[in-house]
Amino acid sequence: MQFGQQRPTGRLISLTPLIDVVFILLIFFMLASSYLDWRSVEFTVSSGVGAATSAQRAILISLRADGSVAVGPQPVAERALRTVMTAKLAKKRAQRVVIRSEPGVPLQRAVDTLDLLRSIGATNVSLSRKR
Amino acid sequence: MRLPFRQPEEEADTVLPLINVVFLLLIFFIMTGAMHAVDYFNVNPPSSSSAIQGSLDDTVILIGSAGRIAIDNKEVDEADLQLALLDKLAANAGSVVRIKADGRVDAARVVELMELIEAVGVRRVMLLTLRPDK
Repeated sequence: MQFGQQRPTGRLISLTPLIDVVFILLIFFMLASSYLDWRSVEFTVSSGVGAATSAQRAILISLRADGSVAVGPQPVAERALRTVMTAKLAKKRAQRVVIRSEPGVPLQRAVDTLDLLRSIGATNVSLSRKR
Repeated sequence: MRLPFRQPEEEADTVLPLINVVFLLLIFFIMTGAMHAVDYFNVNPPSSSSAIQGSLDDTVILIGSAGRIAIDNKEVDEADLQLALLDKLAANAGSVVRIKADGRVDAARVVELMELIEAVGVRRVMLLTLRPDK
């Protein structure tokens, strides 16, 4: 028995299903992929007994829950923090700075303070919390 | 003046440019987008301008706005977190832990958890942030 030889057709597959599939893939990748630009900040915490002994030399920045800032015991206006810290860090870049936040201070504020200190050249910044 | 009426060409000739464009878009989205698992709960990380390039490759600890913690897409409490980290450290000693915390969570809470993480013996802890929109 002989099968009639099939002539090659002009187009092997219809284009419409192909376009469907490609469109679905396109929409899938558009929705599933994320374009967030992740960054990371390396930071340390100063805690426990170690902080008590070495904190004498460190500059302590207190972030209070009511939104005020203090450098050491002295209250400082949020805007003046940059100039105050620039003056303090002018001599010693490696000066240890501790950012201590009270309960109620959002993380964003602590990170902003960390950013500010890094931008004026502080290299040794750590976070701590009020006990 | 009247232009001569054009006979519609064969279907393939008209859809081919469309397919070309769609394929290009598809390749663009595959190449540029990054895909990773959806977080256990929603977290709005803080923005930071001083941060360096980050990745989501290592152990990621989620801290939600209500102070909830999750590791490896499982919600845990503090004790379980330490146990999970001990397991990870046993498998890979020099591992980096990344904290993906909500920007509104208490900074004191994050520091408290950092102390727990460091107590287990993790040496490098990174805080994940996003670049601020300018």
